[in-house]
Amino acid sequence: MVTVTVPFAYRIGSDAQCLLAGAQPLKVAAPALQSDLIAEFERILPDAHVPLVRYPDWTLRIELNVHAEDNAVENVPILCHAEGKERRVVFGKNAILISGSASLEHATRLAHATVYLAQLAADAQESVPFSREYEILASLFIEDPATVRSLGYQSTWSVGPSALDKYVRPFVDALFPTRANGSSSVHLASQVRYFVQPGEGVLTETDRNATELRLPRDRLPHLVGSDWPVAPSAAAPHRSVVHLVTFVPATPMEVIVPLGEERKLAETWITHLRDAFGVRRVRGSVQVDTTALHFPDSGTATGISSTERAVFHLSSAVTHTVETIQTLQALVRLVDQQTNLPVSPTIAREVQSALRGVTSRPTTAWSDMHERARAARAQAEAAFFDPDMVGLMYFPDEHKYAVYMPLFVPVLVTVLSVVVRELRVWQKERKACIEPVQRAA
Amino acid sequence: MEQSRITKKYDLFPRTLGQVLNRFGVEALDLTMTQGRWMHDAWGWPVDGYAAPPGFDVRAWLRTERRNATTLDKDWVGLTNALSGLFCGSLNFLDGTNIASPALAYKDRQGSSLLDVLRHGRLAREAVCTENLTPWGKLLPCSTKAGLAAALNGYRLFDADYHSIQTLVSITCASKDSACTQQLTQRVVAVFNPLRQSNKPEWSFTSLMDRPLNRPACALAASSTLHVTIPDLPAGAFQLHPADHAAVMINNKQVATYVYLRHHSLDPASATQSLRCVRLVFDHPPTTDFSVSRYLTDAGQERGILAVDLTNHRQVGDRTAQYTDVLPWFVRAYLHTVAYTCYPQGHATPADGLVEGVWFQHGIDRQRPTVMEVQVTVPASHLCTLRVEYELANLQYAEFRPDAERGFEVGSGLVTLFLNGTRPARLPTAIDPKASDVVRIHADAVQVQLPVPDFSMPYNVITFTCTVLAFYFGTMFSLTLSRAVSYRIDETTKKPVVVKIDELVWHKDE
Repeated sequence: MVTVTVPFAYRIGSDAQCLLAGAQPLKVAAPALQSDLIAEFERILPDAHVPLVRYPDWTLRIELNVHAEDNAVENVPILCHAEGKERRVVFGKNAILISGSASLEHATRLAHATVYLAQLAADAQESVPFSREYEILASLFIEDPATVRSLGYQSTWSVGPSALDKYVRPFVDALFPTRANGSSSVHLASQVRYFVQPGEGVLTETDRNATELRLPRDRLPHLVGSDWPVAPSAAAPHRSVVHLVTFVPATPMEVIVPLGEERKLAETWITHLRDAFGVRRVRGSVQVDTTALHFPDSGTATGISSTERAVFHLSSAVTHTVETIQTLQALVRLVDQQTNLPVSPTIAREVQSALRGVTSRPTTAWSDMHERARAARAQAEAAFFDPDMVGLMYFPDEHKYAVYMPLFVPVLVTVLSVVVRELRVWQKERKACIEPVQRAA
Repeated sequence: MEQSRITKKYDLFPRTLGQVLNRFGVEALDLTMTQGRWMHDAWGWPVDGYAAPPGFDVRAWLRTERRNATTLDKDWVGLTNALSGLFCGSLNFLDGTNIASPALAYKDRQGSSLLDVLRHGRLAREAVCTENLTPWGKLLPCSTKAGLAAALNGYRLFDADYHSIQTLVSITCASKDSACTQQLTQRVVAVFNPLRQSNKPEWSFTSLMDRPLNRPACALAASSTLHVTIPDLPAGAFQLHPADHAAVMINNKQVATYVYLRHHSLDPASATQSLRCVRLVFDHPPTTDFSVSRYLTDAGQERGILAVDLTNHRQVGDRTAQYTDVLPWFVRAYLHTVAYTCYPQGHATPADGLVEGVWFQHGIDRQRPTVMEVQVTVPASHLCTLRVEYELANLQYAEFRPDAERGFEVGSGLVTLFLNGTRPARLPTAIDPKASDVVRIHADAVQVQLPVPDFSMPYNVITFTCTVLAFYFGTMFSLTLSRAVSYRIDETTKKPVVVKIDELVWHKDE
């Protein structure tokens, strides 16, 4: 049973977060709340372990901390207090409002919220395969530019790139924060290509002469043809590409989203991107035991609420940590099995830094944890899939036979036959040795 | 070098090429894939900038800000690998051993004012085929499905006497520090000989390309036009169909212009479909007034002389020429042997020519090639020869190509002529009327035969050693271990009987 330790750090805040929400900072000491919280948490969840859904051998261990208000720790949910008889916990922008009267009730509410979040973190969503960098490519494919002109569209596409800039870039920055040197791990690009035909088998003979098209659902997967320009960039083939394709066929189709509406286009894209990157929807209200949890509706400009962002970072970080350890274990098994595999110092360095990334003391900021886990996983995979390691694998035995056998087999055959002959003679002489002694006597 | 936070939009400019240029910080790029040599004496001067050296030729201007030499080398490797993936050619062989950064050549091509370095690599041996034409066509906005590119037939194009597929990216900056724009020009230059198809000196578009022009023009093109240079013959000696065409004068030559229509369906019997020209007599191509010939002299596989003949056919007026040559490292040229002699045409007495400057980078074995740039003056009516002596290196047996007896191509030299306002006589039609002040002549590629080792030696060694061991060792070994045995013939049975050693001794004592 392997565990991943995840810190949950709360801070009793007195800054603008509480004031804006119309609440006050909690009037209770941090150490007292922390011990109450840990006790309540252990009561609800014995030995504080949450099993991971996708990796049955692994569990999540929750470390709870409550900091005092003057302890400047970044990026932790802030605890505020709202008067009211309702027993609820409300998640806002970086602030958690707890309502309840006694101090133990605060701890119970918070413990319920923590349990719920931990269970969300243990159940990561399916997402696109892991890659060190991603590229989001918004493509407009036009089957026949002549029809597009006649419909009044221009040959250049300005809506797509501006939608990418205004809506998708903030969303992507919330998921994968910008690195220290100012670069981002997600690149955005858009392209327009003409004379792109739907794939084989999508349009039947009757469709070709029809004035409008209806596609049954089972033919939809064949829409992407084999000659569609969706190849990853030749300059960066390691970058995984997420494609957002807008296809304009020659026969007019009913357009669900008018092409000119930037905001609607961006909304469709952001919905798909949330599914693609595995952002779990955390909205509305949930009842956990005796507490009601309220999550905000995401009406923010980035298309993702802060709670969803926090849950995404946490669950992603846990998944990446597990995968890193599994990759490193597989690497160790491989090196043990194949004794003639060369392991260069670069691979050793990458393995060590990956290990350091996942076994070091986790910081309290979940986005930092996420970034570190991603970097560690990228290093572990780079070490495992390093092309140098495969180099000496193929050294067939036939080559050794072909070079050494013609040299040594004639020699060995001669030597062996002589040895056998000498042995026989020696044996015969041993028997014959008895006679001459008798004769002499 | 890329800024990852900026959204890149590609509509007419192809994304595949744009991402490569962006990632490796390439400001300008010239990539030409050519087969054949432009025969100046038969075809005259090529259109400005349309001539290219045989094989694959890559010239990239890389930005040097925030990159040192090591990063530039790594980025160059990445660039050649990306381009070889894009164009299906083996450009990844252009590593440090065969690229050069010439100091004098191509100065006029460097458009922008930013600091950048030129890297030039050439593969003289590469063959061009449909695998290179198809990805080139995919870069076009309408690809090869509409427009003039739809008429390119690989069978006919690669059958031409000379064909060159060119992708050129150039950069223009409005002013210093302002945003610069990159332009992509894609060109196919081909020389067809209609006499090979039919024995008459007439041609039609369909007979040349074996494909009618029946696709509409690309809807995204601002203009699609066909220009036909009207030959310099009296009016009765040729007929151009269709006869109703606009005629313009470009560079003192008459050119017929046909506009290629976008919606050919509106005009089923479109004029361009029946484009043909019937000629009754041959006309002679304009001669060039400067010719270049490059060859190897001196016999043997150990050393030789590389010579370049520059002939100025003009009666009056000297010409300034710059000769650039990149020799692979195994052709070791010696700077002290560079000789430049001029002979007045028709005479045999030499006179010393004027060498204005020499720029020489000596090659280092297996690391970098020899780059030689010489600026000379060729007086009027003179034939000038530039010679340099070289020595050939011995290559290791694994460095030879699969067909080792063929030798190695030493890529063509480049002669840059500075016109200084005097244009060569009768340069043919230039589509782009803005002509440059330099003319580039690509000299002939030569082939050197390097001493080839005996590749069967490893097999010989193994066979010989094993045979020697088997026979000699076996024989000697058994000889040394065999015993000498005495015997006597028995009187009664007349058969040999082996005598034991102690019996012999006993007899002696007796």
